[in-house]
Amino acid sequence: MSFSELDYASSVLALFLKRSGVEPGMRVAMLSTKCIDEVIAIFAIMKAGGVLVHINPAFREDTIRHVIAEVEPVAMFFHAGKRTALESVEFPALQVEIGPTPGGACTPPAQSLNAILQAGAPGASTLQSQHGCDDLAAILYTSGTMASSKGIKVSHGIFSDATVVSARVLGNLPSDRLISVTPFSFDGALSQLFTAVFAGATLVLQDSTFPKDVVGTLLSERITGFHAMPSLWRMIFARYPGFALCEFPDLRYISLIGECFPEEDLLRLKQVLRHTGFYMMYGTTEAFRSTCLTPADFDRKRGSVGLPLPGVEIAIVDEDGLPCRPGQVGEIVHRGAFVSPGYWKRDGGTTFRDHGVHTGDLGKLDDEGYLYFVRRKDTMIKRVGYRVYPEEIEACLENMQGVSMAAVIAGADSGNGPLIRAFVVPDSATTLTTDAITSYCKRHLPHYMMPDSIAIRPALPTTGNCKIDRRELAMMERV
Amino acid sequence: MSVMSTIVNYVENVSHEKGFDHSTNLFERGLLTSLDVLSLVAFIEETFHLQISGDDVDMATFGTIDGLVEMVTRKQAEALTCASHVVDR
Repeated sequence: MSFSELDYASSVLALFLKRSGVEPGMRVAMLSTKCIDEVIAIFAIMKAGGVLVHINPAFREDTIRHVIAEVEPVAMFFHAGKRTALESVEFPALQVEIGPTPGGACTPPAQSLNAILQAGAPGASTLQSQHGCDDLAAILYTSGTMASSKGIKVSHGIFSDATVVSARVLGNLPSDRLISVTPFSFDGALSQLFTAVFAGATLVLQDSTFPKDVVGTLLSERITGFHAMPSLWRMIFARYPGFALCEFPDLRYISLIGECFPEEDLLRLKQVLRHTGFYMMYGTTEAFRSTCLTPADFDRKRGSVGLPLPGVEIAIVDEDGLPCRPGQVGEIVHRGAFVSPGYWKRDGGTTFRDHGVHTGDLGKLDDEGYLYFVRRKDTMIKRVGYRVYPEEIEACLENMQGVSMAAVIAGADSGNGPLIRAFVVPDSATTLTTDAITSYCKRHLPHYMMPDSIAIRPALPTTGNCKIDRRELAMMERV
Repeated sequence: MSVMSTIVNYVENVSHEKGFDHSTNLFERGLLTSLDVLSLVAFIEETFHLQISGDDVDMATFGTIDGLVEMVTRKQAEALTCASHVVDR
């Protein structure tokens, strides 16, 4: 699809949304696997002044219901295959089906995107849209189960600034061919889309995340830039050994963000991608983009995530909020550009305060101001780029009938992040099987929160104040 | 049990759903997730006594019931041909 086709199609769709009652500031939701129609819809929603809420297709039904109840969308785009699986979700009245429609027909009351585009709209070729910097552009629900899923607000100003800065840092040109792998519910995927459009580059949408398919696309589409989480690279190494024998002469750069990349794996990747520049980045969705280590510094500053991006200030603070000296570990605080206006319908908690984002990550700065990520302050772990709190999995397990207590601890590294180990104490009156617990989890937890092992125990160690003693449990179980 | 019904049974058990089209994309439809791929590979290897390499695992093959059945049938045929070559010698 060319830029002029995208521009025209998204204008036709924006006029349709306006005619159908979408007004500035109203939320429009989207639930789809990766396809070109999503891109048309994303731009259409923004041109109509609406606020994009892209729901991650990996979310389970109750989380989807929670997101829809919280953002109250006036309209919803969904992929034909997704609709049938969600019988209990109450969709808004205005529904548009995107992606390939089986047999060309769609289920009423939904209308098909194709039909809307074919009908056209007068004035589409001259549609102008104007946004203020502070106008809301999107609400991002990046992870979580029903209870914890928080929507992070992103303004047009943030998207715009991040687009210009990313394109400059990565040196994006019209000759670039970028691959888009993660769902558009991630800030990284949206940012890459906008950067590609801003630079006039080609964006190749990759739906399948099977390692062989991803590597196949890198080669056949002569991809020049790839933004991915370390776990995707580790999965490619683990499951598709053929990767190490391939040559990637076109791949100008890769950028890595979202989780720790053990040095051994990183260097192994560098060996295969000998001619490729590595950008190591750090950021949280609340602060969009924080720092970047450019390829020029890769060897000199190994293990660092680089210097603050233009307009960003990074501080390391101690428990009392006072600045740490170089080398001293403290909480990473982001101020300046890219700070989100906050959470949708929730207060900022301990994250948004003193005009900055308190990331909950521990890090340190060196003498030259380069940032090093150390670890999380709390129990949060990262699995395939998603934030996972063991407490949320425990809460889900304890909701299951017949479970009296549950504990979840992080074990050794699985390649996708730490292994998730669950321990369940049944009610005295109930017989539980691990199979039954597994299938309960599958219905209620997204795939990245699924325990790798489940064990049934008569009791769990507790501390003096009756809390589960996770440290003792980890020792007992040798995880 | 035929190759087809063995695989359909497996997917039905994992997804707790029945009656889906054999050309439906199992991942798009949410019946399987990336997490299920490893156990599906192990199941097919054990059940049909086949070897599956990283080269076999792509969306064209693992995306649909039809793709999986085609792969198993093809690999079984290949195994038979290899075995008959051994006998010929």
